[in-house]
Amino acid sequence: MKRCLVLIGLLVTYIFVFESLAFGAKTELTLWMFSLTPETQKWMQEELVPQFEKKFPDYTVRVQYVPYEGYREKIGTALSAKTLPDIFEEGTQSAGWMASSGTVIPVDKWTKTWPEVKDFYPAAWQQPQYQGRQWGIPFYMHPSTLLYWKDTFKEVGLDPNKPPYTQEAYLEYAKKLQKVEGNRTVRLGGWAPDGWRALFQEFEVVIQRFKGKLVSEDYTKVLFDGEEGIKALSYLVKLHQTVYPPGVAKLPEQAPIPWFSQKAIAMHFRAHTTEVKNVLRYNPEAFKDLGFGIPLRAEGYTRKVSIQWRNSLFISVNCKNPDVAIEFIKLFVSPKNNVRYCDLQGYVPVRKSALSLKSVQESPYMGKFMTLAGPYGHDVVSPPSYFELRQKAGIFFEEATLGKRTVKSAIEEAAKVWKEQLPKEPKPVIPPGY
Amino acid sequence: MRKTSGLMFREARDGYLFASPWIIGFIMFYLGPILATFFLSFTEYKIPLTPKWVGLGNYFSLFTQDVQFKVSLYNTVYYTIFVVPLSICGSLIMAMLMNRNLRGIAAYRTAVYLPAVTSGVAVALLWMWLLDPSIGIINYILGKIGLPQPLWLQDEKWAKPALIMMQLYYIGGNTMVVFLSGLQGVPQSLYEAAEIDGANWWYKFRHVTIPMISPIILFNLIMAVIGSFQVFTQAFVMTQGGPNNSTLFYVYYLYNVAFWWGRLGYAAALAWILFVIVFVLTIIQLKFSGRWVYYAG
Repeated sequence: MKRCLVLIGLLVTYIFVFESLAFGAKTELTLWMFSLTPETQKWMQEELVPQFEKKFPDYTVRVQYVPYEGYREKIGTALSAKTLPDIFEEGTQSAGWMASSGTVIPVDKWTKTWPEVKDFYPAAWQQPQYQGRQWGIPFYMHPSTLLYWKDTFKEVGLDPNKPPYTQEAYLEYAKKLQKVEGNRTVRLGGWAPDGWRALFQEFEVVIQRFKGKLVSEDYTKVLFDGEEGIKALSYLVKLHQTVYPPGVAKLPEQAPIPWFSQKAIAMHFRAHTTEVKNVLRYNPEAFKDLGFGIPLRAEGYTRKVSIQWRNSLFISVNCKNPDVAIEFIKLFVSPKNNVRYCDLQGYVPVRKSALSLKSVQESPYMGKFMTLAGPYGHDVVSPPSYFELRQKAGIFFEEATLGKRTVKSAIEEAAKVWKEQLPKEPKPVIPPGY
Repeated sequence: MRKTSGLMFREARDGYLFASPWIIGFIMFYLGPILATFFLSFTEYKIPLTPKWVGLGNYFSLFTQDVQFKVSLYNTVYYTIFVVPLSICGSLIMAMLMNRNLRGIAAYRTAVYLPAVTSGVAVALLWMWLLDPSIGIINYILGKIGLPQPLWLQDEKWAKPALIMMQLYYIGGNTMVVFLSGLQGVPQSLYEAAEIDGANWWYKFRHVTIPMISPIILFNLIMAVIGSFQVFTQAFVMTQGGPNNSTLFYVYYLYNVAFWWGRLGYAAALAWILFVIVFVLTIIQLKFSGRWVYYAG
C-alpha cells in the first residue's frame, strides 16, 4: 500500500512538472521547402525565422529543407498519410491538385482584405488560383524573356539592337544564326522546345499568343483543338524542324559550361535569370554582348507572353493556427524579405514595389526581368491531373515534330485525352469554415 | 532415429534463427505493402483521395487502352533480349580472364570490379559524354575507322542499342564475381582427366566448365532477367524515356504513373503485372533448367 502511494505521488509530481514545462513551451509552426541553397537556409534560420519569432514570441518555426528530387514523393506520401506540415511549397501547376486533395485550405479569407495583394504581379498572383478560389500565396517567380548575343547578330548581318519581337521573326533569325558543321550543330540559332514536356509547356504559351486557351475557365471544355491550337503547334513544329533538323546532332546534353553562356546558343526565348547568372559566372567579360529582348508575340496579335514558373506557399488543413501561418507567409513575401530570398535563390520577386529597392536596382538582372518579363507570365492551367494530361498530350506533339503525325491529328488526339479526363477530375474540396 | 530427428530439429531451428532478421524485416516492411498494392491494384487511388474499388478496371485499361504501357513493355522486353545474353556471356568471359593464375591478378580483379561500386547516376552521366554524337569518344573512334556515326541517345532508332551497349560497362560486376567463385570451385582433376583424354581448350570449356558452373549460370540468368526488367536509372537520368518514348522502360513508366501522375492504384496494377511477368519467366527458366543444369553430387 505504502509503495503504491509513493508511485502515485511520483506520477502526480511528474505530470505536474511536465505540464508546467509544456505550458511554457512554444507552439511550433512547421514549413517544408525545396531546392534551397545553403545560403538561403542560413538566411532563413538566422534572419527570417528570428524576425517572425520576435513578432510572435509564443511561436517557433521549424523549417525542413527537402531536396527537389525527393519532394514530389514526400508531398505525395504526406498527402496520403494526412501528415502535411503547417505550410509547404508547391510548384506552378499544383493548384488544382492541392485544391481537390482536401488537404489545404483556401486563403482568400485573408487575402480578400489584404491591401498588399495589388502589389503582386497579376501573373504571379494568378498561379495558385483554381476554380475561382485562391489556394496559396506566390513567393517567387522565375519569368523568362528573350536573351541574345549582340556580337553573333552582327556576325550574320543582323542589327544587334533589333532583336525579334514576334515568334515568326524569331524563326527567321534562328535560320540565319544556326551554324551546322558536317552533321553536328555548332551553334543553335535559337532555342526551341524539344521532347514532349517542353513542347507541351511552350504550346500552352504560344496558344495564348494567338488569343487561344487550353480549357474553359471552369475546366469543363477543351478549347485547344480549334484554329489557335493548330496555329500554335504548327509554329512549334516548324521551329523544331528548323533548329533540330533530322540527322544533325544537337548540342551535347551535358556541358561543363552551359551552352548559352558559351554563346553556342545565339538566341533564347525562354531565358530565365539562370542564363544571366551563368554568363556572369562563366563568361563575365561577355556580359557586355548580352542583349535583352521582350517576350515574343505572334505576328498580327498583340499579346506578349512567355513561360513563367511561380511557386506558392500553401497552408495545410493540419495547421492548428492558420491565422499565424498566414502571418508567417506575409512576412516571408514582404518586399524586403522577398527580394532577399529571390536574390539568394536566383529568382525574381513577386512584388512590384520591390523595384524601388536599392538591391533590385543594383542587381544586373533582377530589375530587368521584373520589368521586361514579370508582367507577361502565361496563364497557368492546373487541372488536378495536369502532369498526366501533359505527358499524354505532349507525346502526340513530339510525334508531330518528328514528322510521324500531322499537326491536326496531334491536336485531335491530344484533345481527345483531355476531353476524356476533364469530366472525371475531382472537384475542389473546401474545408468547413472556408 | 530420434537422434537424427533431434539433429534435424536443431538444424532447422538454427536456420530459422539465422534467417530471422530477414524474415522479421520482410514481414514488417515488405509483406504489408505487398498485400496493400495487391488490393490497391483493384482501385482508382489518386493521391490523396480515398481509393475507389474498380475491380479489374485498371488491368482492363492497361491492356486495352494504354499505349504507353505497351510501348514500355516492348522497350523493356527488347532491352532484356539483348542485355541478358550480353551480360551473361560478357561476365563469363571476364570471369575466365580473371580466373587465370597471373601475377597481380588481385589488382586486375579489383580494377574490373570498380564499375560495380560506382554510383549508377555517375555512370549514366559518364555515358552521356561517351555517347554524345558531337564530342563523344565513341563516335570519334567510329569516325576514325570509317564507320557511320549514329546520333545515339538523340535518335529513337539508336537510343535503345546505346543503353544496351552501355551495359557492357557492368560485365566486371557482381555477375562476374559469382561466375569467378563458380569457376574456382571446378575441381582441377576434371580438367586433368580431360587433358589426358586429349581434350583441347574448347572441349574442356564445353564439357567440363559449362556443366560444372551451370547452376551458377542459371542463378545469374534469373537475376539478370529480373534486373533487366527493372531497368530505371538510365532512362531516368539519361533520356527521361525519350526520344519519342523509345527508352520509356516499364519501371520508369511505373514511376511516372505513381509519383508524377499520382495514380497509385494504376501503378500498383503495373507493378503486379511486372511481378507476374518476372515470376512466369523465372518458373520457365527453372522448369527448363533440368535439361541443362548439372548439380554435381
